[in-house]
Amino acid sequence: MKFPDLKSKTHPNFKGVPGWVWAGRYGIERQLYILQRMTGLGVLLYLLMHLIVTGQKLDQSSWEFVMGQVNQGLLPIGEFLVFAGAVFHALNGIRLALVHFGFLMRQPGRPIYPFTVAALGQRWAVYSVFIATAAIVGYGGYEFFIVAGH
Amino acid sequence: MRESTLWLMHLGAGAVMLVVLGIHFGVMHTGGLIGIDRTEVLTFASVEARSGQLFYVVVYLTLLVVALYHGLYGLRSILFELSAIGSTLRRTINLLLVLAGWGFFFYGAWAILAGYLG
Ligand code: HEM
Repeated sequence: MKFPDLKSKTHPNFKGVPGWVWAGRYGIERQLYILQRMTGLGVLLYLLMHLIVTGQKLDQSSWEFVMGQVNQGLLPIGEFLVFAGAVFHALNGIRLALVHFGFLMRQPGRPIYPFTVAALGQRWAVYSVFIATAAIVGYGGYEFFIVAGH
Repeated sequence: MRESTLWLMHLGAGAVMLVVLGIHFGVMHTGGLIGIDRTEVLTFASVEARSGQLFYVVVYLTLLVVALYHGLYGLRSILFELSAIGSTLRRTINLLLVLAGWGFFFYGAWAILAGYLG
């Protein structure tokens, strides 16, 4: 059997990193995809450093030395940003998993005027992620900056 | 292993992390809600006391495994999505990430277990 030549007539997808960083004027969910990746990579980088730092917990003088080092300058602010990023990533991750398995998807309507946008049916989940993130990060900030005085 | 299985494990690791990372953050960052003093939580005495409890050993070992898998698999997905990456580079990335994962796992597991056994 002879197959027809199915060569693509469009340009190859060579946009690379700029392609996923800026896809065009899409909705907020598309922008959150970038934020999910950036927070994921940030938390991964932190995790690897965190493992090396907390590995010093076996000896009191090493622990106190390393805790002194990570409490200098802007590092506590950076640590708090990682906390905020991780909270957002986890909560947005719950939303994404629900979307992946179809739980938040709405039935698309027929394209009859006035048009409806099925994606807007799950927008409440985006707002819930923002509100829950603000609440947890807000409380964490109170403990971090006010109670512990960083 | 099939790619879809690896991806499901990535999501599964995220679900497990909701529990164990939730406990870790609950204790370290929002401990005031459950009566833990924020100013004490990072002192050597407090760290040593937690290291000696089996509950925290289980939580930290689980967190170590799932966070390393989830994070490194996530990094791999991002790298593989760049269309210019060919199969030799893919195999090299796989090898490096697996080696990094095991390396950090052994280092972290050693610190957790040595802390527990005193
Ligand atoms: C409770 C905690 C977490 C949950 C629920 C969670 C959930 C998720 C979900 C659902 C995705 C998207 C997967 C997809 O769409 O295919 C994701 C991506 C990612 N996560 Fe997490 N995550 C958590 C914690 C972490 C941590 C601690 C790290 C780093 C060590 C991390 C690193 C990443 C990375 C790098 C990606 C990007 C993968 C991609 O875009 O394909 N995550 N996470």
